[in-house]
Amino acid sequence: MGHASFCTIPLATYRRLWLLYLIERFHDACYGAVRLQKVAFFSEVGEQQRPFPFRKAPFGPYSEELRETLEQLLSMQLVEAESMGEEGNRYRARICQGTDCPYGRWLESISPSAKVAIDRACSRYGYRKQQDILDAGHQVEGFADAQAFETILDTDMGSRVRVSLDEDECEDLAISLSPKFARLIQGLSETDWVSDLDKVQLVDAG
Amino acid sequence: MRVEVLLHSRVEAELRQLRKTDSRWQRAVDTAVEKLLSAPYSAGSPLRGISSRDLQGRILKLHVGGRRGHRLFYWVPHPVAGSEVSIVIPLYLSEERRANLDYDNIDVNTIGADIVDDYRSERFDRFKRFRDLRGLAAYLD
Repeated sequence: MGHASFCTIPLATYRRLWLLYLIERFHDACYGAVRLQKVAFFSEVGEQQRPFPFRKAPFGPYSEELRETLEQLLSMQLVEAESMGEEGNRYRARICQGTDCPYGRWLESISPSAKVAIDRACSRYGYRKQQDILDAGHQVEGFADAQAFETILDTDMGSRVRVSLDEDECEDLAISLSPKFARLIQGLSETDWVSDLDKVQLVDAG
Repeated sequence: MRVEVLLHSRVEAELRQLRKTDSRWQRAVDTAVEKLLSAPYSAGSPLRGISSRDLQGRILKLHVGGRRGHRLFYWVPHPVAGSEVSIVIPLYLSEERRANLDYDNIDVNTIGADIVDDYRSERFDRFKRFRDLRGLAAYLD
């Protein structure tokens, strides 16, 4: 481990890290996108360094940016969606486990209180009946008075996010959560590098 | 098991360019290549945060010219049963300053998508294989 220092990552990377951590906190899976949106919303209420803006929508607080981030995580195969028929999808995070897994530490290095807030919102709202969650969303202060699709909880973050990690680890964070790298690693792992190796010219010392 | 470096022409150009800078960088590149050829798994450090257990430890990065220097990212494919060759594929030699780089917007070919595409499309003329440092160093000179 190098000396502690600071670096920055794009907000988009932080959003992926934050949402990935949230989905992983569900013991089994997160049942439905509405539930996911509401737990994410309650994770941000009262917090600083809020990655997602939320607007007033028919089913309560809703973030289009969160939906887009979820799509990215699905395409990167870091989250899997399983259909529940008319009830939508259940979402599971496919992140590494164990002491070597850095996601929780990475999240803390950006926002020390985010982990606690997510854990709290997940246990308080994550397993309630759908209607209870919807009611809780509608009862949020300022929701009733807001116009349709008006922002009710804005992000307070700029386009880049400061991270308390050394440059080496910061780079690992940025790379492992980059959609382009995810596609590259998929391509590398799915390529047969051995069968045609003889077709590549061997350059010897002589 | 014998180790072979499978070198794509883009990475070859990156290494060649860095080697040309001065004798210090020439030594740094040669040292990195020697490490790859002798012990690919321990030469660099595995990228952290890879979710798939199957892929963990396959993409690594090796410092070239010290911790503040360039990093050489490389891929070590799963060894094939019965094969006597272990392959190491250098992917990308990064620029020195990296803390604020946006990997979301980096060119996919810069990080190695061109290597996958060329190999799958059987453009084998864009690759060379090397078994020892002398061969690779002489080729890059």
